[in-house]
Amino acid sequence: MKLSALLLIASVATAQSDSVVIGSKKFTESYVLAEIARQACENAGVRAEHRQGMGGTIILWEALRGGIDIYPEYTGTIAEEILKQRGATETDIQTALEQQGIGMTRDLGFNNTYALVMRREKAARLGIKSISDLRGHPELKFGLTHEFLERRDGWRPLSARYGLPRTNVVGLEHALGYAGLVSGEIDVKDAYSTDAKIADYDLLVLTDDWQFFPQYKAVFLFRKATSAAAIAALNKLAGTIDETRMMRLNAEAERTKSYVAAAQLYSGVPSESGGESLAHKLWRWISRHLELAGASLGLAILIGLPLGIIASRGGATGQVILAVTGIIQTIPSLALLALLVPLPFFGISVRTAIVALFLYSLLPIVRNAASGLQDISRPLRESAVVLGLTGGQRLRKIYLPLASRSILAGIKTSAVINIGTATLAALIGAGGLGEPIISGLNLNDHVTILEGAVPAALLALLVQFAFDFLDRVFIPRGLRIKS
Amino acid sequence: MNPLVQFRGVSKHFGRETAVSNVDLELERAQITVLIGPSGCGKSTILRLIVGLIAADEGNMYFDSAPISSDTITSIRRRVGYVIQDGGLFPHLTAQGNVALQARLLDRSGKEVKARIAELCALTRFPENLLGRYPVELSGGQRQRVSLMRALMLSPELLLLDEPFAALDPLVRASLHRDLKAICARLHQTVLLVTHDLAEAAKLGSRVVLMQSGCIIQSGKFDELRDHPATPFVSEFFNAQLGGLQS
Repeated sequence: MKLSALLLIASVATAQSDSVVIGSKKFTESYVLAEIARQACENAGVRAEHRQGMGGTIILWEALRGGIDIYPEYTGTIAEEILKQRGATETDIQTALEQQGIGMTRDLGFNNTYALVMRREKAARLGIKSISDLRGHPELKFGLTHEFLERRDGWRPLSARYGLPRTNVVGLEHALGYAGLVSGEIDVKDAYSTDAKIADYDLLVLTDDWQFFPQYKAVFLFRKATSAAAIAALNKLAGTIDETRMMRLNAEAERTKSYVAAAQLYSGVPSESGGESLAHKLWRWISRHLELAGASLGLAILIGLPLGIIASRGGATGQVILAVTGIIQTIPSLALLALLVPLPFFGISVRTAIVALFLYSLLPIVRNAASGLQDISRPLRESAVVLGLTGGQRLRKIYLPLASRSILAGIKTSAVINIGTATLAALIGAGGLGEPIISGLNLNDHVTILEGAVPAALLALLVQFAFDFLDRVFIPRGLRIKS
Repeated sequence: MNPLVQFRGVSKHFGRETAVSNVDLELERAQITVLIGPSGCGKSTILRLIVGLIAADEGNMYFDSAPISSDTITSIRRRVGYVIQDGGLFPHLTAQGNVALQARLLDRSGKEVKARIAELCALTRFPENLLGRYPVELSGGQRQRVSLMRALMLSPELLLLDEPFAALDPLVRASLHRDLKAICARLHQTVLLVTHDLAEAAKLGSRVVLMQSGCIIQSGKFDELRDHPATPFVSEFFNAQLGGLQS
């Protein structure tokens, strides 16, 4: 009951027309721009929600058809990655997007192109100034973001064009890459030309001497169906941010560890939701986290227990059930999210997170229920049969109580795993304790990471204790006492 | 009166093994029939056929003149009490919970159930103050008394006992033998007892049925089998177990 109500609320919330949902990608500038858009919408009287750090280009673009209304994007990315039209002009882009029901604002006033960066002293020592200078140094270690490695305007065509060595290349998370660059573990990384880190760490931006990188002018993409007031508010932002200003806003976000603060620096207007206290934030994260883990666990019990009962009877059906739940378990959680997001019913939503977590909780519950039931000795089964109990009576009064210890152990395993895995829900904007972990990762801020990681660990311990207590309630006394 | 249970040419195979071969058997009412024979001779299979835990491959079986089939088995089970070697008590239920289970599920009133349990405690000499204990908290003999109470709860017409005393120490076994005999005499209970112990058969059985390799070799009163063995196997079986006692 509770669960269906929750799903209903989730679907109603996304369907409301007088409010907009703004998404952002997993890096500082995207967070800041989305936050600026959110404040602009709110100031124009449109209720706006910011789903932070939902993922890469593909996830955000797909989300634009379902879960979100607006997100910040770059013209180069639209042409290369979304429309697959190299060198398309802004007008070309506008027309092509129009056909898909998507609108685009004029550019915000800065070009955040890709760039390769190095530590200044190392570059000077090797005499490197431009990308073409890298050709003579196959010993240099490249630490590149996964998105850059795969992009059509990324590493592969870039290295082909410049004839760069491809042997010393690893894939790294963006913020962690800066740490690696500073500590000397890598020598070259990809960056956005407005990254605040470039100034912070005094890095050298290598000249794109053969003009490989296209223009990456920042714009907002929005669904045509978005409220007119919101679109008007977005259009007013066009041409108001130049490179220097953007770099300052990015630096402000990283200094204050707050995107809200950076967005306020832009508008000069304090936003209502700006001063959220840590206690309040923790409460919001934890309650959402429990909601995600709880709803998915409830669903897994409801569906997993009957599946376990069927599987315990063996045969082909039982084999198939155990095999399928086993296979689901082996899909990496990030990949599962990425697979679910493009599906019509799912998209970027709490619903998707709950379904993904539900799928992960299935195996321990199904397998433990099946093995617990199979372990009931033949004399006990036959006694139940001969007593003339019906199939349902045997199950409810005899078999399930006898298997209760194993069943509860499965549920406990799922619950603890769920608390951990639910941190990934923040990747698709579903909130929870993953929110500070991911933004902390992007800000390279350990305190923010711990704000999410510590409560998540404590929560897992708490759940463990809670289940030890539930054992006493649900496992019949006769099975717990020793003779 | 017609026999309570009748087997006509019943056979049962497990793969290539023959468990029971062409068995004819009649259980007279208000008698203790003892089914005896070496392990694996098929005596437990006969019990399992009666309560429908397995189905016969050939032949016909009747309970109170009605054929035993998948359609009738549920109602037949309610007219049969069944006790197995280690009692088959459900460990998650107390002694009382085990005894009352069937009656509760048939919606018998609490008062009726309580009165019946008190009656059974007296009958089986099980201390009422132990009714709240779980099986693990009871001794082997106490567990078998509870198991007997559970089997007798609905006043079954037939009581099936599958080596119920095999795991008990001799003193407890002797005491249970006496009590069982008294109970059956008092209730005019029809009983089919499976055992491999001749002394038990001599003490309890009004009729003894000896089996070997799935076939009934000889049946009749204990003394008849002992004094007039039908085959060398019968005298061999008797000598092996009673030889020590006679010398």
